[in-house]
Amino acid sequence: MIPFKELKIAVIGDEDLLGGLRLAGIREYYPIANDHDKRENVRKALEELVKKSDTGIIVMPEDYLGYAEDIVSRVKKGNTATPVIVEVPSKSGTAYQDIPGYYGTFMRKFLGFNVEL
Amino acid sequence: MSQQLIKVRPTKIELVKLKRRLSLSQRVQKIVKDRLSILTMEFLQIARETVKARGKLVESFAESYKALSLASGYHGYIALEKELLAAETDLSIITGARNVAGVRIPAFELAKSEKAIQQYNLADTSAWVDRAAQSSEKCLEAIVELAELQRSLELLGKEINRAKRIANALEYITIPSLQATINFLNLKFEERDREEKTRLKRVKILIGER
Repeated sequence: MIPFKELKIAVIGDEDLLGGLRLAGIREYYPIANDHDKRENVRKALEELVKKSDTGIIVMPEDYLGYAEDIVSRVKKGNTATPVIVEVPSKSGTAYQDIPGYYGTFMRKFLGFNVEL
Repeated sequence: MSQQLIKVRPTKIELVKLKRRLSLSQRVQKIVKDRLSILTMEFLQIARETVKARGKLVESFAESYKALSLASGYHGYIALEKELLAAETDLSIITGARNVAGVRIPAFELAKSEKAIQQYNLADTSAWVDRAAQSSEKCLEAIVELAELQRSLELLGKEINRAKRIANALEYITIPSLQATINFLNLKFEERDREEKTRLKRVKILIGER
């Protein structure tokens, strides 16, 4: 069978997101201050995490997706199962109000047709 | 519709070879199609689950943010920071893999650390912190679940695209061109037979005239 591996969960995010997840027990986190270096900092942290072999899940707010689109899409195109980048809602709410719609575009891309979920 | 003919020498041996190739491709086509439908079914199943998981994630995060802001309002950011440092543990996920029609899709599970009691100072904090911690843990579970499903969705999607390309290539290019070539060879052999027959007849006449 396929060997089991133990991997880490890492978080990139602002104070609010980190606060909650640290309370849940996450040790690996990259705080991003809300200044004008935000973009570079997010990209740097993400690159570093992607390179590490023991990163399983990378959690980051949806707002940061725009800063590092190329890295994220590169990770998504990769053939390995990990790392997985999970976008979570930020404090101001989520951009994906229409969840079935969001995955609908996914489906059209891969299947070529739409199915009501 | 003119199909691309495969360039072969017009011999019976080649015809037999082509026929073999045709039956092989048809068998492969059937397998690829079956696989594609399995992948599609799995994909839809996972897509449905992903939608649910995403909903759960959004919900639990809304709750968690609320609880955390209450907690930090009660204790102040600095006091809370101290508790946060204490709350950190070596959290890890155990990853495995599942095989769906030849695609390895991941399976994640949160490794339950043996923290029976909270790591932070219970005497020093209020119930708000407990509440926040609880809802954050729920968030974490939702994240792990969503990560597994989302990655599976991506991997399956990619594999579906590949399988679809193979199926289409077989259906629209390989098999028709094989059929066309076989047809062409058959016609050629018939033509050769007829030529042979007329030649024999001609020779017969020539011999008869002598």
